[in-house]
Amino acid sequence: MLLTIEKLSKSYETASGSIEAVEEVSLEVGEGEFVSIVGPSGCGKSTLMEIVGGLVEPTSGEVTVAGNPVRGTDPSIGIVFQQESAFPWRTVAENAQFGLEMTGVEKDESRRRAQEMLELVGLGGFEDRYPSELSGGMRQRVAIARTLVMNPKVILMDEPFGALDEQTRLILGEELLRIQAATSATILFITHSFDEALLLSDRIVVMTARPGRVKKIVENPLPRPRDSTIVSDPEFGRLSGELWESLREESMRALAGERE
Amino acid sequence: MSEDARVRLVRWGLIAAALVALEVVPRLGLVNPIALVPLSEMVWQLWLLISDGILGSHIARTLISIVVAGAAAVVTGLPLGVLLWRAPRVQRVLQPYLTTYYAIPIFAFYPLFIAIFGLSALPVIIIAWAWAVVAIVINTVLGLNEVPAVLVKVGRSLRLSPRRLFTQVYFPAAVPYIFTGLKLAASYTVIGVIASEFIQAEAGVGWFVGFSYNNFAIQNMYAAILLILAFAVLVNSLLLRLERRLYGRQA
Repeated sequence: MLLTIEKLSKSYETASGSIEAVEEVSLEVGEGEFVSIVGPSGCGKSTLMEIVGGLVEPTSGEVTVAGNPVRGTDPSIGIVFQQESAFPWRTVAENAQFGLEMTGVEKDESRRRAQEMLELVGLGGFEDRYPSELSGGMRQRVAIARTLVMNPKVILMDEPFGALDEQTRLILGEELLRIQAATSATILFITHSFDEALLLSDRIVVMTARPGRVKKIVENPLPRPRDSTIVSDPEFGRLSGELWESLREESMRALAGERE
Repeated sequence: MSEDARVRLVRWGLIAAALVALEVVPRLGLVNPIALVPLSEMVWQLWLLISDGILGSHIARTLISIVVAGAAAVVTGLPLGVLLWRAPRVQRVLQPYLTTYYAIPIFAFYPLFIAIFGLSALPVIIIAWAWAVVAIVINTVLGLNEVPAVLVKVGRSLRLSPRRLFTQVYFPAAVPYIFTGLKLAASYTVIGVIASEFIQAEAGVGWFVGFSYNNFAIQNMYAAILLILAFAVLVNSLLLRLERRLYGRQA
C-alpha cells in the first residue's frame, strides 16, 4: 500500500473539556488509486486531511507513505485546499513554479515543468495572468497545477471544488479524472458530495458524525473511463441513493449535535 | 462617453474651476485682494522667489527633513511592525494605544522637543517621524495578521524555513496593507515637517509661510503655500503610480 493511515485519533482541548474530532481512523490507499472520504459536516474530514498532510499532529496513530512514517509536512504529499490558495502576487506561471523555485530547481527546468502542468489543467495561454484576473474555477486549477508540478506520491484534496457552483464542479471533476489518468496520481479526496465521490473515486469512505470514524468503505463499481455524463446513468442513481442511505443517519446525528 | 470618462472629466473640471475661481474672484474684487492674491500672481511670485534664490535653501532644508524623517519612519516602522506581529501578547497590550495614537495632537509637544533638542531641524524631523512611524507599524501588523491561513499552509506543506515562509508568503501577502501604511506615512511626514516648521523653526518652507504671514508679505505666503500644495500632489501621485505598477493587476 502506498498510503496507510493507522488508528489515527485527534482530540482537542477546549474550555468545556476535550473534544474528539477523529477516532481511530484506519485506511489504506494503493498506488494510482482515487479514494474519496465523505461525511457530514463537522465529522473531522478536514482535520483528518491536515493530519495526513502533516500540518496537524495526531493525538495517536500513524501515517506512512511507501512504508516511511510521515513526520510533519512531507514533499511526497501534495495538498490542494478548499479555500483560495493561489498567491495573488504571483502570475499563474509563477504560482505553478513556486514549489520548484523553493526547492532550488533550475529556472528553465521549473518553467518547463510548470508549463506542462498548466497545459494539463487547461490553463495554457493564461501564464501571465494574475489570479484576480481569473474565475474561481481557474484559480483552483492554478492550485492544482502548483501541487502537480511537485510530482507528489500522494495528493490530498480537501473539498477543492467546494466553493464552486455545480456546473463548474462537474467540469472540474471531469478534468480531474483526465488529469489523474494522465499522471496516474494517487489521490485522497475529501468531499461532502457523494455524487462527486461517485464520479471520481475507486473507493468511497463514509465517515460517521463526530467523532469521525470510518463507518464503511464502498467499492465503486462504475466502469472507467468515466466522464460527467455518468451522473444520468441509472446505476449512478442507485449507488448515490445507497450512499445517501448510509450518510443520512450520520447527517441527522450531526445536525442534532449542532442543536445541542 | 463611458461612465469612467465622464467621472474623470468632471473631476478635472472641478480642479480647473477652482483654479479659474482663484484667479477671477480676487480680480473682480469679490474678496479683498490683500487677503487673497490671484493665482497668476502666486505663480509669478513663486517663480521670482525661486529664481532669486530666496526659497532655495528653505526648500532644501524642508526636503531633507522630509526625506530623513520618512526614511527613519520606514526603517524603524517596518521592523517594529514585524516584531509586534511576532509578539501577540505585546500586541494585545499595546492595541488600544496604537489605535488611539492619532487622537493625540503630537504638535502640542513641540516646545518639549525644542527644549530637549534645541532649535534646529532635529525636533522637526522627530515630530514628523513620530507622526508617520505609527501608521507604518499599525498597517504592517494588520497586514501580517490578515494573511490567510491557507497561504501559510501552502508554504508549510512545502517545508519552507521560517525565514522563507516570511519572505515568500507572509511579507508579499501583507504588501497591500504595508503599502497603505507607507502612503499614509508619506503624507504624515510631509504634514509633520511643514506644520512643525510653521509653528517654530528658523528655516524651511513651512517657516517661510509663517514668516511671510507675520510680516504681511501675503504674496510670498501664497507662493510658498502653492509650492507646498504642488509638492503634496506630486508625492501622492508618484506613490499612486508606484502602487499601480507594484500590484495594479493583483487586487
